[in-house]
Amino acid sequence: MSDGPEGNQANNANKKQILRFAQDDGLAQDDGLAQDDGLAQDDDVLAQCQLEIERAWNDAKDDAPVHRLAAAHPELAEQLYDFFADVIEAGDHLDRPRPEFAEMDRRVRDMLGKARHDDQPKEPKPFLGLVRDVTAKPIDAIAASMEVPLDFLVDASKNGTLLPLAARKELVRRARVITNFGGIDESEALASFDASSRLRRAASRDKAYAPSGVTYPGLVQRSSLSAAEKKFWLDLA
Amino acid sequence: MSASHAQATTVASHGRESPNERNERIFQSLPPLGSPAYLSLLKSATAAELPASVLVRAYRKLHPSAAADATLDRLLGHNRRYGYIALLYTTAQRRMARLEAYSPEDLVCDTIGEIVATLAGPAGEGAERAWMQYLRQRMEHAYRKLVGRREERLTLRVEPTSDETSDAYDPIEAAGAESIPWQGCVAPNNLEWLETFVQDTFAAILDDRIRAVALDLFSHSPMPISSDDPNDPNTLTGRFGVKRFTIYRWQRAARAILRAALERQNEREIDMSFLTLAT
Repeated sequence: MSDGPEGNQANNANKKQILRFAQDDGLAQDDGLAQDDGLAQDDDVLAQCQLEIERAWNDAKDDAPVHRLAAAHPELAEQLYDFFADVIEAGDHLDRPRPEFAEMDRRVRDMLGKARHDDQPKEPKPFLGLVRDVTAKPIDAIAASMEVPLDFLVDASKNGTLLPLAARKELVRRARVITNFGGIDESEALASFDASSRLRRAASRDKAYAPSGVTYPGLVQRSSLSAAEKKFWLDLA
Repeated sequence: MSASHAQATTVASHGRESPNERNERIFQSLPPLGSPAYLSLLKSATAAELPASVLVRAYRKLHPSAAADATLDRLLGHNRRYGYIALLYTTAQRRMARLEAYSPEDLVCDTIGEIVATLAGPAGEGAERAWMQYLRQRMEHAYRKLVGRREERLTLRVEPTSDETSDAYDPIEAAGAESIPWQGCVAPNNLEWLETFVQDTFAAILDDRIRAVALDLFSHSPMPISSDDPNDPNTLTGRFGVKRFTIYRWQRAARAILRAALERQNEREIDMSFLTLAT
């Protein structure tokens, strides 16, 4: 900035802007800026004036508010007229080929795509996958820690939809015990039994797998659980 | 630009619908939102046929859905063709030219991020009725986040690079402010009427300096904006003690004020192409 009156004015405006941002960001109290009179209020006034100006124009092509508001808030007059020019000129920018925006458009579309990808609901993991992610242990070690045979754990996870709620809860409880009740969200883990790994596998086939006809008691019976353990799990049905 | 749109933006005539009435009419004539016909329209319509406000309204109704995504893509991701957010670029260029650490593109990107994050929610409420104000607000938020929270950091980054940098970014400079604006555009039988109209219109500007620059701009012999001598009293910068950039802004405001007044009046049909952005 120069040393002329415009330079001083711009520097003051700049300083005011900086102070305003600091105040908005909660620094005002720390830095003793709270006394800076009415800066945040200026922001509100400016926003309200802009809103009134644009709405009046859009509603009825009424240009009176910009003059009235500029007269009422002379410190904002330049900004208000500048904004009014934005409103009036908005249509001029439409449908004009602007090749210089091509690269920016690409960046924006990439950004939109990424935002959507991040917003996509994550495909729920089957129970065993969920526990493995949290514990970072091999599945045989997980099965041992949970005091169930590996084949039963894999089968239960793979056919999770067959499991009654009590059986699901028991498996989730054991999984949470081995993680010291940290890292596994109970409701997420319970829902994980509805994530069928069969669906994913069927996606690469011409047609879906036919229903296997297996039931929860059948799943328990065909496992390597001991008789006592089978009785325990069957009683949860 | 379609011929009908060009006509609508350059010729003043009384009784035209307001922007909101036009947007309402367009919105009501849309195919069912999300339908194949709607998606097809998103690809084929001009920006004049599908204004930003209409897209915003449709987006808020459709969100979240694939059709909402397509609507947002058109609104934000094809500025090269449609220009819905061209204002962001020009405003960002004016603001960020003074900062060393960030580019105008950074500010535009961050502003678009703000739009994506808020348009469907409460902060996006009313954006269809005041799109320009909404864009300004989002840019203000983005700017605030970009320059950081600490004053020291801000001060370092707000150091001007040079006087010429900010002016060089100004898109208004290309408008050719030092010529008689309506020469060759307005029919001779309207000239006298227009001169009186200009005087009356600018009398409403209470800011002395903006009014003086506005009257000068539409006078028979506009004063040069600047010369090699920054204090030259025969230039606008010298007379008002401001930089060229400020004069450009005041002249831009003057054009907008006159254009708005001409759009409202119903006495004459005036070709306003001398007041629109250069094509």
